[in-house]
Amino acid sequence: MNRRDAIWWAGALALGLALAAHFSLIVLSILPMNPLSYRCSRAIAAYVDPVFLQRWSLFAPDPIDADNAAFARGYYHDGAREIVTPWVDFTDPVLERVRALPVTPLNLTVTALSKAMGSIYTETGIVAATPADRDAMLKRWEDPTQQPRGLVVLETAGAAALRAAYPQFKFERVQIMLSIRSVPPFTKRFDPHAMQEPQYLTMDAAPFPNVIPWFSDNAQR
Amino acid sequence: MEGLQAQLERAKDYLSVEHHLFGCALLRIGIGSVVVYYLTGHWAERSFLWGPNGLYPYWLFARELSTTHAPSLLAVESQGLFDALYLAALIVAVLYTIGWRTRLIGIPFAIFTWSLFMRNPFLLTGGDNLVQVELPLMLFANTSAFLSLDSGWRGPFEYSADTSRPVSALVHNAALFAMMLQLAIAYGAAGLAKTAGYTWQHGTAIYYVLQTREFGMSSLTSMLFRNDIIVALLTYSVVAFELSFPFLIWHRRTRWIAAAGAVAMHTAIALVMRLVPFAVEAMVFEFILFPDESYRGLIAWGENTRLFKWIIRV
Repeated sequence: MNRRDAIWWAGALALGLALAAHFSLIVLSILPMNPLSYRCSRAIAAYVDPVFLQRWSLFAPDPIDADNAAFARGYYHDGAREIVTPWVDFTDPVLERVRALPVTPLNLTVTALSKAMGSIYTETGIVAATPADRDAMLKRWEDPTQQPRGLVVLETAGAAALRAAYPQFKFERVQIMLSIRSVPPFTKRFDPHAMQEPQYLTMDAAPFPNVIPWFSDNAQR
Repeated sequence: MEGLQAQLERAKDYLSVEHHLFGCALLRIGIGSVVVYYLTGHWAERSFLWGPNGLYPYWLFARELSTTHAPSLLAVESQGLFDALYLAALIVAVLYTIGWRTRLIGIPFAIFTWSLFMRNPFLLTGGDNLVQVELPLMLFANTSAFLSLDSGWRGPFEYSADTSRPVSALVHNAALFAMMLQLAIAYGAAGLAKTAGYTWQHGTAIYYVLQTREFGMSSLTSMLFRNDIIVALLTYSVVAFELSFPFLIWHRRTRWIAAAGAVAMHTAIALVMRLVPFAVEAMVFEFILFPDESYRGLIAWGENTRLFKWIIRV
């Protein structure tokens, strides 16, 4: 073996080892916790997060099985009197436009709003919280800096929708309400009474965020 | 001993030539086009989706940085600077797509694409994630040997194997192998995760997805969910495809099955669930599964078909 061949083989060996180490850490990061991944958890997190973080699940372990919607209402003053607008639905009008025209830039807005709503249910534990814990949670979230990120996104979108729907008002606070309605179970798919009523979760009002205007036809009074 | 030596020589000869170059070029064009689509298609609402006072405001991005560990060039407080960086990202994406100084431009392209994906994590789809984890590997592959400004828009028949750069070829082949393995892991992991899900186990997951307003089409959905056999077959075929994909892509006789399954599944996702960019991002990775000879054979076969002759005549 000549010198050039030796260098080539050394390079091949090094690349092979690097790939083996890379994919070992990747695979350990996506496997359920086991003794090996537990022992290497710090190394795995340090290497994989954030560049090689695998967020590819494709509706696993179970797909979405409910329809979510979000509503916003704004608070403003007319003299000394505080006035509240009706609830404005700012998710369904966007979804309707996407359903009518699948290849539209609004698809990303639907994705963002859907994930923001989902994150409030999955990241905060508000649904399973006791009434006292839920009240404490909502009180804490009146301060936007303490809010979960999903709520910040929904308040921003809701505020943008309110500004588009009521450009004449100078809003001081925004309030968000979420609705969730489960899809009928597969075994009851032909039962017209199986469609459940939506459940609502109303947040406390928070200061009106500084947000750029939104397209006016994305909001529906 | 001589047998081992001969095998090593054969391996060295094989790895000293860059493989799957045409597929890598198609992948570059596919990924670049998706990013160009993201940037131009959302030009009017760029500030709303990614801007400092948009859906995911700058202060929220800064607050979450300690947990996400994912910085972004587009996370800036100034609207003017954001617009300038957005435009720069678009120019870089176009240059990468057309293959101008691809090795060099690939680095800012990867950084800007990362920045776009990370600026608003609520916009990140599974397809974006696949691109995100594959892009660092793509930087080491030769993606501009065909259909690029760098190559003079060379077609698949205008190139013969270059054996003069064995080290460069070794790095390219390692990157290609890594991209294919990453693809296999992505599908395999998605399939394995589904086996733990109640609705996937019971063959009803497709029903639930298509019953939601976000992903369903009312007419098609109602037709589909009335037939329980179709729902179960579709649900189980998705799991079966994802679990088999990691094993099918390595052999030339079976990789067609894997690619056809992926194209069928992602086309259905694009048409029925309206997740078009996601589907395109996932599908373009199938290009790298095939050697250049397959593309040459496909084109030669296509040239002899009536449809191709009709297109040329038109």
